[in-house]
Amino acid sequence: MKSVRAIWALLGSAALSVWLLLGLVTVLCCGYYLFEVAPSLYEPLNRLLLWDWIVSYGWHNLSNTWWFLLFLVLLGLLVANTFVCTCQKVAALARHGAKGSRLDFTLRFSPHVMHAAFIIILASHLITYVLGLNAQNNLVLLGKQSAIPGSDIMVRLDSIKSDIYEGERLAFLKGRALTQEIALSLISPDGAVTRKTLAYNSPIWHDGYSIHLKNYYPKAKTSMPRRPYANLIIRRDPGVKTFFLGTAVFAVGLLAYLWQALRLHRQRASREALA
Amino acid sequence: MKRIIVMAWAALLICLAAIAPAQASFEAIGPFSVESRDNGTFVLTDGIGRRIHLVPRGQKPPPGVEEKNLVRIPVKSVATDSWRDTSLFLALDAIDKVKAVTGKPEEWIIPQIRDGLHNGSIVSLGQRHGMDYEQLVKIKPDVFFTWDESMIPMLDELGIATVVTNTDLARDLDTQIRFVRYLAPFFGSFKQADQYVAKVRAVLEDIKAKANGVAAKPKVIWGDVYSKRVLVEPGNSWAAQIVQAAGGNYLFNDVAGDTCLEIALERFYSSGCEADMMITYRTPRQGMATKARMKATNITIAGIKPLSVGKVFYPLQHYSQSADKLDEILVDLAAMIHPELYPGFELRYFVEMPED
Amino acid sequence: MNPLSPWVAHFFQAGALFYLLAAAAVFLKGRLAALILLGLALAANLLSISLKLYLSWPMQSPFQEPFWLPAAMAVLALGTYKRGRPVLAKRLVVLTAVLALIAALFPNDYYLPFPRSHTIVAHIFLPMSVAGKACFYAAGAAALMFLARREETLEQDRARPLFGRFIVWGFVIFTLSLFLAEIWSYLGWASPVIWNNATMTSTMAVWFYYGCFLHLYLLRLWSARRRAWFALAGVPLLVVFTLLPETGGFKWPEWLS
Repeated sequence: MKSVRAIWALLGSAALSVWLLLGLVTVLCCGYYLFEVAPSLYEPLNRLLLWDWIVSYGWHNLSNTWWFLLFLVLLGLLVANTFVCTCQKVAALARHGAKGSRLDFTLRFSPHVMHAAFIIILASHLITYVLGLNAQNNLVLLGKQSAIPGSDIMVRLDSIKSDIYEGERLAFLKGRALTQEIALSLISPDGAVTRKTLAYNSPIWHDGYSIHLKNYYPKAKTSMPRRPYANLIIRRDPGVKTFFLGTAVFAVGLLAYLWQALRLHRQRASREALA
Repeated sequence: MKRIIVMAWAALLICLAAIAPAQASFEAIGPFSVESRDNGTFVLTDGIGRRIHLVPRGQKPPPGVEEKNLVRIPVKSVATDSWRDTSLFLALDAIDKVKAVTGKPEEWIIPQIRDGLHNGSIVSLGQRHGMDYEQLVKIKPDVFFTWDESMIPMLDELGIATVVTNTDLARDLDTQIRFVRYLAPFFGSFKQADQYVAKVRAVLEDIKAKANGVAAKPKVIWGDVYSKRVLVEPGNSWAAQIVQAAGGNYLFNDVAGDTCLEIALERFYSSGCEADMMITYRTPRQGMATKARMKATNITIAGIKPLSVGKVFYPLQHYSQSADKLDEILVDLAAMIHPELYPGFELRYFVEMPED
Repeated sequence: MNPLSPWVAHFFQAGALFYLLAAAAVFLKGRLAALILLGLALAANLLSISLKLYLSWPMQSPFQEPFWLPAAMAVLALGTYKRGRPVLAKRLVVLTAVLALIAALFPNDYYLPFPRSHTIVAHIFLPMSVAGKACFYAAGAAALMFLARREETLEQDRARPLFGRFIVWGFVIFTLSLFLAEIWSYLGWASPVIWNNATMTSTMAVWFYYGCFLHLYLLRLWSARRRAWFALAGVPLLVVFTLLPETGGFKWPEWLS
């Protein structure tokens, strides 16, 4: 019990936050140079689950990837530190109750809102990297169909329309696609067809899956002869919604904190002016 | 406090020890990877990140692996549309496994392929964009090596495993040298792959040693000129790295990205005005026979130095089918950059572009 | 090639020259001259980035931050001057001139606009990221003044030195820009975090660094003097891990070479 209390006290320490954050900065700065040396070791993180990456690229290239493993450890400790610290501070705030205005009291929670959101964001990330489906390179030829990995839903590529740039302003783009419309039919096992249009930066969502455009062909008015196709990234990402929820909550906490800081600053300035 | 720290470290070490035996052997070769498992199987990552399982003949494939991602090894028949990969099969003593290729016999320089196409032991699949799939089905190769990802859906449908050997990001010199080790598990040609790597590395060291004492570094650019655009080999490419290793100053060293990367004409022009030498993949076969022709193709960059007082080199036809001779190609490039270090040397894979 | 293209560099180089002259005027104590030159520099700088945007729109060219940063710094310098802090404004002008000179001599402007930048999110992200970093640089300059005891101690600065407030603003804007980057990344590459280049790590390093400062600032863990050193140390971190990766090789302006 004594050691649990000691751990709890250690994890709630503000000094620990500072040293962990500085540790993360140091590790990430080292990581920057090591990443530059061998970017191809880290690119697989975009398609592999975290554990798969650790036991392959990570473990077998430790002279380069040590920083990433250390980064994960420090991040884990920071999450624990943030959690304990937030619990302690929120409990203290609630105990002491509102001393100033109600707004003041509410805004005093803003750093803790950010801390909670930070934990949500990292936890969502972990869920994505541990549980998600990340199927890169789902190639569909024009007029053909292909199954969504792990499901009975079929994707058919109906058409590829490109808005070919013909102006003079963007000289480098002349004769090439500025925008694209990739028409897909999503066919359920019961035969129901849903038609949706896909483009770069404009994914589609269907039955829990998100479908993103990775590549397609043709992209220009005159291209070498090749079969038209779309290369799709298909994801079932259980963490992404909570990730963006966490992001939104963090942004709210951040703006509330800024508001609070500005209010306090103004109050202090007017007090000093009166004095 | 001390006890807590000790416990934390112990937990970390236990976790690491748990990982340690997870994979006996794993080798990343640029964006490619080879993971060899104790039961004789291999899991490979191809150029676009697909996982291919190589399973010895007669052995049960791992559960859940689809047929399209499964290759039985050692492979007995191979189809390919890649000249570079085909020439590497020579280095692996596996050229006899090639049963189908794209292109006409006269496009092939490798004697075994050209003769095979003539005598019918190797099937021509026609041009890649209009491939004869009926022929391919008849051959039913164990694996198809391609540079083109759009081949995957058709080959999946035919139940033929596909390996994409191309990557978006430019291959660096180390990947270019070790790529043969990626192909080796298909044929069991590990010894040949190691010999190839050792040979090329030795030549590379020799090139570096020769260039070491040279003070003057010729300025080099490597790019292709088209009527409206220019493509260059970025600083992270093997091309840039061999120029540097051979004692040249590669002027696009600060450019990073995909192979044959399109950049702004202004930059090409400004670096071109400094360059002593240009290397290009544009050849007389593509209508680029002379410097005058290149100037006329894109007048915006016509004033660059290699097109007036400098030199322009382009590869000969057999260059793209000579990956098995990478050591010789590297020496050619080194001799182009510092001819004084290689007196009397005759280029074998490149030739200087004439003025008119 | 669009005939307007070379003017992007010409305008920026003119802007950099005016920034340098404005910095020289600061040293020579020519306040009006410095103000006029700073205005001219900012105008040329804005013209350059507007023209670049015109030649890329609706897409965006990569590595544009070094060209936007001096403009953001100049706006901050003018703002601080207007708010009665001429000494800090002078320091910011000098810092702006240095940053503009780096951008002018080490341009990384030869990559073409890329299709995935065709989204409004990308266009909002860029100025926000720049504005956040500009606040961090300004915090460094203010911290230097604090340490040299040259701070213009307006009444409100006594309790909370100015560099801390710059960092609060910088952190808010920089964090919001990162959230936009995550949205863009998810839409374009199917994941809010993409391990495609090393800037992922350096961006996180900068965020954690200033996050650490905020902890020190809010909890008053360190003295103001130590915090000032911390804010000042952020400047080389910013230069090495956010500015240099965005710059290219050394290149004399066309008209000089």
